Amino acid sequence: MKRLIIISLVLASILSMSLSIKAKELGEKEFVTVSTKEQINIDLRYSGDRIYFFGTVPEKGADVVVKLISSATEHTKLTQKGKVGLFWMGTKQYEISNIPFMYKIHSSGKLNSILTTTLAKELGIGYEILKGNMELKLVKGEAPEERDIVFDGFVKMKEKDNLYRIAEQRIKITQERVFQHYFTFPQKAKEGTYKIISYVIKGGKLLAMSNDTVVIQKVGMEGWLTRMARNYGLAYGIMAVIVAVSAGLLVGLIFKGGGH
Amino acid sequence: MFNIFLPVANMSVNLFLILGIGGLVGFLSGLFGVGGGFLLTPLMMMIGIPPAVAAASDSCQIVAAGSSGALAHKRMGNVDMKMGITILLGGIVGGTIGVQAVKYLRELGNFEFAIKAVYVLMLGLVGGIMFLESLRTLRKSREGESSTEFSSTKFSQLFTRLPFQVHFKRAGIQTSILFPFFIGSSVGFLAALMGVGGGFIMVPTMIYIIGMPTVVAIGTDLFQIVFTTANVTLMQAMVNHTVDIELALILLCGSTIGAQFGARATKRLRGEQIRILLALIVLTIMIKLLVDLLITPGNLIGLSKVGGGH
Repeated sequence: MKRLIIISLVLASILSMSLSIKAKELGEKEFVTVSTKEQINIDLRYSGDRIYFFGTVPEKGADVVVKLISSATEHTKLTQKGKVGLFWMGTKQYEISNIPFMYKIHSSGKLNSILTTTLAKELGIGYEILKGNMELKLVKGEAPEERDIVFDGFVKMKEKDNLYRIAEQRIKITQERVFQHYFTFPQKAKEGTYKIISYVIKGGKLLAMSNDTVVIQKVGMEGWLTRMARNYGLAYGIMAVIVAVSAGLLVGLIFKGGGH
Repeated sequence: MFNIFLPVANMSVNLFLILGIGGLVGFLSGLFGVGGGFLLTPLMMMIGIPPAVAAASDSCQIVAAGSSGALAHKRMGNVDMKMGITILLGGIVGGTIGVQAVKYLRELGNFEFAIKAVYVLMLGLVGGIMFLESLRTLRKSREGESSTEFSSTKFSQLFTRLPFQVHFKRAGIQTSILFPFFIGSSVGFLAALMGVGGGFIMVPTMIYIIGMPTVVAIGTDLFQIVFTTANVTLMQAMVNHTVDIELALILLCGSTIGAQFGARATKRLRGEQIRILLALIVLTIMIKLLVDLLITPGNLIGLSKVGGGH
């Protein structure tokens, strides 16, 4: 009961503060979601962030599935390790594309009991859908392509960085109407736009959906250094050397000759 | 808590952990009189810094750490400019090739393997030799023998017969310019690949093989290290975009403080005890890296191009 009051208060205050509210009506059903933040700034002290999402389900007994997906997609090279003699080293190299940089699913129940295969495919929910969409090209090493091994390894890598996650029954719906949950944006979540799409589903049918957006950007010194390092390599390199020499000489002065 | 976001490594690290690693390596370098770059890169790799960023930022840190020492040695007249410039030219050639090799290996997907394999070899060799030499010295000192002095070696005699003979005034020797150039290139290449200054190879080479006096060897080495690693830093920033200046500066702070304590601790330990301790540390890191190459990885799939900023 106490939790419900807190949730209701938070929800009411957020609504009254006129934070971004995005709603979309599908038929007669109105579905509203709100978030505690729309922007994450990466600065010197950044080590990841957490954003809470709240919503009201338009129909009792319905389930909620929320998908977080980055606008940025991966276009990268992956190495598959194999044993060469005694050592483990890269034996195959793949180029993968058309797969999101960050992908998370939260749901109020078991996904296979909420979604039909067709609806899951239509909404892009589940790793199998991502695997099917992923474009894979073997660029080095001998055939065959090992799609399952590459995808599973890729997901394992992403899950380790908390960039991919499927958390079933993570969303709690109180009194069959109000729900809340949070997404963690890990430190490795890079700059860009992230869409959070909430779906209300009942009896295998989509009743309503709502969109939220979160933008991540590097600010201050971190933003400046990143852009310098990425876009102006020569200037950044010269700056790094000048700063290093100056710092070294300064430290040498402080410690009378330096420690080395 | 006390986390700091590194913009090029693109990750958050504990400030005190990095200061601690810098401090530990600085302490060891103060204690043992070595640069410590060869320990810093593998330690950073162990805490999750991408190998390419660890190596490039370590080079940047060495520029800082070496500059004050180089200036001090120059003032004391311990730098043979001619020798330094020859080694430096070699270092620039080797470093430039090394940076391209890093780029090629990263694209090939085997950079992590290559850097770890080179480290296993180098640390194994350095640690092993140091351990055996220290044990021998300990045994001799117990038996009351004095250690043998190095004089003119077969190598240094051989180089006097090669073409392009030059007299190096400060070092007080005459030798072929080809040899210091070749050594400079090799160490420059390693500096790019491993993020090391190369003092642990260069100084013994200059003393035992080229035949230079110890103080001049150390001064000349520091002089060329600053320029070689500055070139590597510049190249890494331009080609691989992997220099994290924040990381380099934090490491510098830690290593400078650590080095002060290390230098003081030297007075309380005997030379061979210190060297055995360093050898054990070096061998432990070597074993950890070797195990990484031998055991089945937790994930057979990895990014081909590791490093931030992309």
